[in-house]
Order: sequence, then structure tokens, then C-alpha cells
Amino acid sequence: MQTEKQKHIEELLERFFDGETSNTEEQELYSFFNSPEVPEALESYRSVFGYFETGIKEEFHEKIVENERSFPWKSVKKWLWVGISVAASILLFLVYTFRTEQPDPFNPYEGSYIVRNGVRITNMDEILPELEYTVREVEDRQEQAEQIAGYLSRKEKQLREQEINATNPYRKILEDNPNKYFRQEMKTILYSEYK
Amino acid sequence: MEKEQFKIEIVPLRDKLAGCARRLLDDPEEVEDVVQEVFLKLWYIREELSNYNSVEALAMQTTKHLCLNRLKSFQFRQKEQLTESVSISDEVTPYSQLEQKDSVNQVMRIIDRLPGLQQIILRMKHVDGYEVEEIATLTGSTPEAVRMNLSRARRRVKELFFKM
Repeated sequence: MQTEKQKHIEELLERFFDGETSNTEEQELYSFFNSPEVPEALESYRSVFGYFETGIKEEFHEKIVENERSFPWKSVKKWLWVGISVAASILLFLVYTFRTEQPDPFNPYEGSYIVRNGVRITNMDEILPELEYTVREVEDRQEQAEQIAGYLSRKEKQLREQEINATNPYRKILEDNPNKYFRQEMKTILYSEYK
Repeated sequence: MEKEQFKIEIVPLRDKLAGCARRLLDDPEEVEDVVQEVFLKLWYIREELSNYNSVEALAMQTTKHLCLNRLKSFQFRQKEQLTESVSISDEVTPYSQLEQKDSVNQVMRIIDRLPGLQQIILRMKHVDGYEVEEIATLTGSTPEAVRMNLSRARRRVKELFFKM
């Protein structure tokens, strides 16, 4: 009886270490090694199976607890960095606004003057309207000049085209021939040569 | 994410991952181990998978890193063997005493002395109570392949216990 049981357990052991036992068979092994009737030959396996039954669970539990313990530190570190970067950007923003709040005294008319009746007038309030008027007038003139230049270039182009048409030897043929396809063909020749 | 969904959405990535691993590792058995480990790792973070833009990319990265780790530890193992064979002496020097003291102070958990895949398989079997067949469906591999790794892990634990 006893030996038969031992045989059965030994067979289970073999299969356990081959990874072939089912969960219920493993339970059987655990309860066998928990019982007081473990034969001497198998005594050394007692602690091993204690580990397989509960030891592994404890170790994994420890591991998870450790991970959780180290986790808050990580997040604290992360928030510390966030805080530092926010503070730094606020500081930068403040510095920037302080610098720009001071009025920028750039004046394009600085140092201008008007000589009237041999008197040099440098009072800005007095001469500013006149200066601005002058500048505006200059701008107007410039615009007019540009318009004229544009008109001239258009005219020139027109004239050149006329000239091309007048001297083009194909043009007469084109006008005389009523065939649509022929005209198309000619047009491509005409424009490829005179472009 | 439950088992069925995992099987439909994640396990089909197996071919791609195996291809990736095969490019880095020569041994087909190691490739199989890496793929198993990736799937089991993904299974344990299944609740968080929806936070990732692409689970495929995550799986590929994990595969790559596990392969590189294996290559690195292989080089390390070779170096270790070399140095071991060089310094065989029974002399008790202050250095060796210090070394021994350190190793005593540093009581490591048994589970930490196993390779990653064996750790996960032991966790699935002994902590969460999965059957080998369930683990095999989650990794898309055969029960025999899982059984082999489970067997290795259990034998390793036994060895560590008998050495102590």
C-alpha cells in the first residue's frame, strides 16, 4: 500500500518536472508533501514543493509591492521636472514682457529738420505733419511712375507682336487657308519659331 | 481584454515577431522562446494595451530588445567562462573574502535567478493557475514547447534548492 502510493508519487514527480502534470495533479503533490507521512527518500523535496506551492506566490507578491513602492518616486520625479519647466517658462515670459514693456523709442524721423527763411527748425511737433506729407507725396509719385512703367512695357510687348505678325511669312498662308487642322498645325509652327 | 480577444488580435502577430527574431538569432529554439516571452509579457499588460497607439509596434520593439538581451548575455556568458577558467585558486585573499561576504549579503530571490521566460511561465502556472494548454494558446505555440520551458524552469528551481 505504502509503496504503491510512493510509486504513484514518484511517477507524478517525474511528470511534474517534465511539465506534464495538470493543476489537480499538482495539488495532489502539494498536499502529499504537506502531510506528515513523507517517506525519507522524498524528504528533500519537501522544501522544493513548499516553494512551488506558496513560495513563488510570495516572491511575486514581493516583487509587485517593490515595483509599486518605487513607482511613486518615479512620478514625483516626473512632476518635479514638470514643475521646474513650468517655473522656467514663466520666468522667461516675465523677463520677455518686462523688456518689451519699456517703450521702444524708434523714430524714423529722428534728427530731421526743416530750414525755413534761413532758420533751422528741429521741433518735431512742428515739422512732423510736413515731413509726413512729403513722404506721402514721394510715395504717390513712385506709384505713378510704376504705373507708367507698366503701361510702357505692355505697349512694347504689343508692338513686338504686331511686328512679328507683319513679318511672319506663314501668316498670309494661315489667313488664306480655311482648313481648321491645317491652321492648327501652322499655329504651332508659328509660335515655336517666334517665341 | 479577455482571452478570446487576445487570441484574435494579438496572437496573429506571431509570424511577424518570429521573423523579426529570426533575423537576430540563429537558433530556432531561441526564436520560439523569445516569441513566447513577448506574448506572455503582453498578456500580463493586457489591460494597458489600449493605451498604446500600435500594439504591433510595441510587440516588435519588445521582440527586438529581448533578442538583443539574449545576444548580450551570450557574449557575457562566454567571457565569464573564460575568466573562470583563468583564475582557479584556493587562496584566501582579502578580495575573495570580500566577494563572498557580498554574495552572502545579497540574498537574491530564487525567481530572480531564472531567465525571463521561465519566470513568467512559473508565474502563470503557480501563481495564476493556468494550464499548459491555455498558455500555449496565448502564445500561439504548441503545448510541447511550453511544457519544455516549464520543465526547464522547475528543474532549475529544484537545482537551486538542492544547492542551498
